[in-house]
Amino acid sequence: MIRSKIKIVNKLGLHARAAAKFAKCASRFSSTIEIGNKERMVDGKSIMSVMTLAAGRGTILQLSITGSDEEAANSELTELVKSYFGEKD
Amino acid sequence: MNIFSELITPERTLFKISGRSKKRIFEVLASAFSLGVTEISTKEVYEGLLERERLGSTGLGMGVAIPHCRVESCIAPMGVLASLDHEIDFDCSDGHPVNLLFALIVPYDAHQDHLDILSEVAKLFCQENFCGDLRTAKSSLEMHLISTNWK
Repeated sequence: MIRSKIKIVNKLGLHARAAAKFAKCASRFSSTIEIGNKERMVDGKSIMSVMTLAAGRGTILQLSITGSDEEAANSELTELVKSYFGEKD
Repeated sequence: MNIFSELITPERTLFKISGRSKKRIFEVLASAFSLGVTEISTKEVYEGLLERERLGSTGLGMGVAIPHCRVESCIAPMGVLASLDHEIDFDCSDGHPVNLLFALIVPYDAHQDHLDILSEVAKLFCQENFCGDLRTAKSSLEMHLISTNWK
């Protein structure tokens, strides 16, 4: 299992399109992927679940990944968040 | 009180609207926003919804979509809840067509508000009973009662 912390850096936060990109990327891996905070971890492959986090810019989220491709999943998802979900700011 | 009671009205709850395409449905949704709220431009909402949709589907899966956009003439978040008489393709990641929609418009600077609304709406739509009850409702009034009173 890999546990890491990721910071939401894009201006609009984890809004619908960002949540959709995250879930789409997560769904490409066979590992179990959870994202959330101390109170609640949710299924990282579900757009609806990721959206429930309401994570604005500056929020630090916990990522928890378990499975045979956990390392690749962790690095791609971290990169997606770091790169502003492909948004300009 | 839930998020729908803050965002929709009976007039902005639409029962089994018809339309075979996203565009036609967006036209109906956009006009519902300006019903009784004359400051809201139907054209601006329609174009905003279309433009947002071009960036990626607002379909959430499980037959639900949340078309949304930021609107200049909008001073507070507003929503329109709608069911469709025929399900339509919405390019959802789960491949399922959509027959339940919640359209949302927010002011340009409403970042955290927007995230909080999406979060509350998603929490309701991921409950199968909630969607099931809305789909079997017999009128817009019934849909309005179900959605605004759901705990």
